[in-house]
Amino acid sequence: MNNLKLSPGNIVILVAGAVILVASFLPFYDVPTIGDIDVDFETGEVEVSGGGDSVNAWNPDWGFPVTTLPAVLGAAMAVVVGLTAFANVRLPERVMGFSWNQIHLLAGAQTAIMMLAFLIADSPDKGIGFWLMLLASIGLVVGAVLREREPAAA
Amino acid sequence: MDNKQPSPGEWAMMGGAVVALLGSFLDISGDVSAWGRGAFPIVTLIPLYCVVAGVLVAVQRFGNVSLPDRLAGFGAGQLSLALGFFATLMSLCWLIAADDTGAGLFLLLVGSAAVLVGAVLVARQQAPTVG
Repeated sequence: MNNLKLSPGNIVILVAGAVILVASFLPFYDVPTIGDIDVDFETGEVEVSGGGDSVNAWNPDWGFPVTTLPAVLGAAMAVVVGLTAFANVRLPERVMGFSWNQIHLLAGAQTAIMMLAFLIADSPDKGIGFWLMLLASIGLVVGAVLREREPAAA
Repeated sequence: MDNKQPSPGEWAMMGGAVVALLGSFLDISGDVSAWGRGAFPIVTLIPLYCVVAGVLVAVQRFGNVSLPDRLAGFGAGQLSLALGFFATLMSLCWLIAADDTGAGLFLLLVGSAAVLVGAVLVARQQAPTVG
């Protein structure tokens, strides 16, 4: 493993990518949801099951796959860093004219812009998953900027 | 980029920007536009990206404005390509996410795809200088 490949920028991207992926499974919005409702008409009993107090970024009724996109982008950034650092995968130097540093910058910026847009948007109360995703998205931008400034970064 | 008539790719980018901007004022889901409550600014990012890409081309072609070779480390062609790509990606995601899809969302998708295709055409045309 080349030490240069695990530079501070790459470490920040790895950690932030892992955090944003894990956080996407935590509550994104704090909203009560109703699951299945079973009504027994003979006894009059109502049984509610499968509901909850929150929805995560993967909930199909609450914005999936838009809410998931920042997590996917962040995870993809971490995977690229992980593959080059740990699996010695050799990626092409440029993709569609973009260097990997530029791709990380663009993906990180897109992730942060989307999370900031979710922050501003008129939406239900945000959950812990949202806030962690927002922090991680900022981490991805910081990591990408650090990576850009590092000499001979992979 | 020298000063001459816009190429087909550049026309596609400018046209796509206009289509996306128009689409942003139509209903994307239910009776909400991209500027409406709940959609702003998440959905609004799509027309904004397209308009920025279109304006980057238009000011160079019609405004006699010469942009710096690189903006924040990116060429103007690269920025347009990235804006078109992310606008198209977000449009597709919204198409999947929206329950009641309106005409505005389809126009956003068509406009952003046009910006992306146009940016790819321009990038291929300028292949030796892109990057």
